[in-house]
Amino acid sequence: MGSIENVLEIIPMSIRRYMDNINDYSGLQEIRIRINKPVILVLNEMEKILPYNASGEDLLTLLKRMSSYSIYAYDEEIKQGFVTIRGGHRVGICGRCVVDNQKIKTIKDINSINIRVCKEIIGASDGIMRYMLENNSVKNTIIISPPKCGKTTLLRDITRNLSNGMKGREFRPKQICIVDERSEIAACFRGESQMNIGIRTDVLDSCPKSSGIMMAIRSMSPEVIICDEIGTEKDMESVVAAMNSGVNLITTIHGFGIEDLYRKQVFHNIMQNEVFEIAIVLNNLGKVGHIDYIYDFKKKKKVVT
Amino acid sequence: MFKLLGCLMVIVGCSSIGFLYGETLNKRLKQLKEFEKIILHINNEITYLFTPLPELLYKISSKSEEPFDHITKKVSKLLSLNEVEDVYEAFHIAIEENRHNLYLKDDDMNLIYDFAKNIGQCDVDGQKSILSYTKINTQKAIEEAEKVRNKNLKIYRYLGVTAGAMLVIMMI
Repeated sequence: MGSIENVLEIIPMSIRRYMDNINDYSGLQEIRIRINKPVILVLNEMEKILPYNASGEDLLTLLKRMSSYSIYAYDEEIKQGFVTIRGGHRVGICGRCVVDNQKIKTIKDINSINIRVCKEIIGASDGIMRYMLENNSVKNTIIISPPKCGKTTLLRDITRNLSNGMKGREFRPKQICIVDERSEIAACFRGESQMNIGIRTDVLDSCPKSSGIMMAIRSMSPEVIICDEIGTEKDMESVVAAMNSGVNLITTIHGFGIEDLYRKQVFHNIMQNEVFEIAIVLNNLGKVGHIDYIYDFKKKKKVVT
Repeated sequence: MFKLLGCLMVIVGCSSIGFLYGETLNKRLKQLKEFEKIILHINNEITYLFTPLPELLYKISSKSEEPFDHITKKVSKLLSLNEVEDVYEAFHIAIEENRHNLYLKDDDMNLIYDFAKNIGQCDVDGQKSILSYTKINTQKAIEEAEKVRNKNLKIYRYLGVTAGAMLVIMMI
């Protein structure tokens, strides 16, 4: 997991000097910097408002530093509204979008930046692995979760467990390929994963899921494909293609329960084809990564509540 | 005997000054050509590989000749450690540190500083334009440096020898 130093080193001195009295950064979750507004830190779910209004110059310095002074190298990420920095931390940006032919060309006049500190929870998936494995094979799994409930953290830890194998659990570790469209799962920085994703894991970074899934099957011959937040028709076509190729798939969607899978038209085809075997549903009632229930599509019932 | 030795030393001394001054013209040309080569490397790294500047300049430092190897390495280090506000500041610090080894004229230095002010601040198409503009201006500077060298190199050398000889004649 990336050091907090990776976050602090991109923050301009004008803001850093107001953070000097913070001794413990272990609970730091977010730093929100908005133009002409006070800088807000989220520490252990609590807001700490700094007595300093960020200037346009501060945001510009931040933008330069987070892009290693090379906007051209992070152009695609900036278009999507975020940049992953060393350590796997994600910096989201807001500003004026320059649109050309219905496509975002770039974002200029940056007015807000949100630095989300990367959290890696080793062992987050240990308790659910037995529901995902059957006779040494991995069940096709979908993780359903509202935002900020830890689905990517869980997905990453599942990847690590499947890739490395687990002590006390008899299964053959798998060859895994992550199709990481938004650099969230492996949090690659210049090609190198900043997270522990296991020794048998390959990463197709910044690659659209729809083409990445097929690329992974052809090029790396994985046993399991991991991807985050499927949701378009093209994604569904690739998911079905992966199934037909005999590759297992673990993925996530935004939602609150398995009803979302049945309700949304886009999932109609994969639900009819019975692509997924289990669904892990998270909620935001407990701590991050809290499992609401696990649903078995074959048994058509909740197996863990 | 001492008189002869003294005369010889004066001639050699003056000739060396002429040769050394002439050599600065050669070095200026060589350094401009080195900068042109660096621009070419940067162009390849940016347009085909999208390599960020700190990494790109570190790579270039191993391929460049003195003093550009030190300059690019220093800029790369300053950018990697986020110790500067922008690329221009990094170049300014690195160039000042190596000023004694640079034989470029003020116009040549402005060429490098203009480049440093604009590099890294826009998308690849913008970078291509900046690099192309810098390349054209560097080529112009090279042509001018070549003309100046061809015109003045021999003059400075002959002037050194002649000045030495004249001094000897006056001394005798």
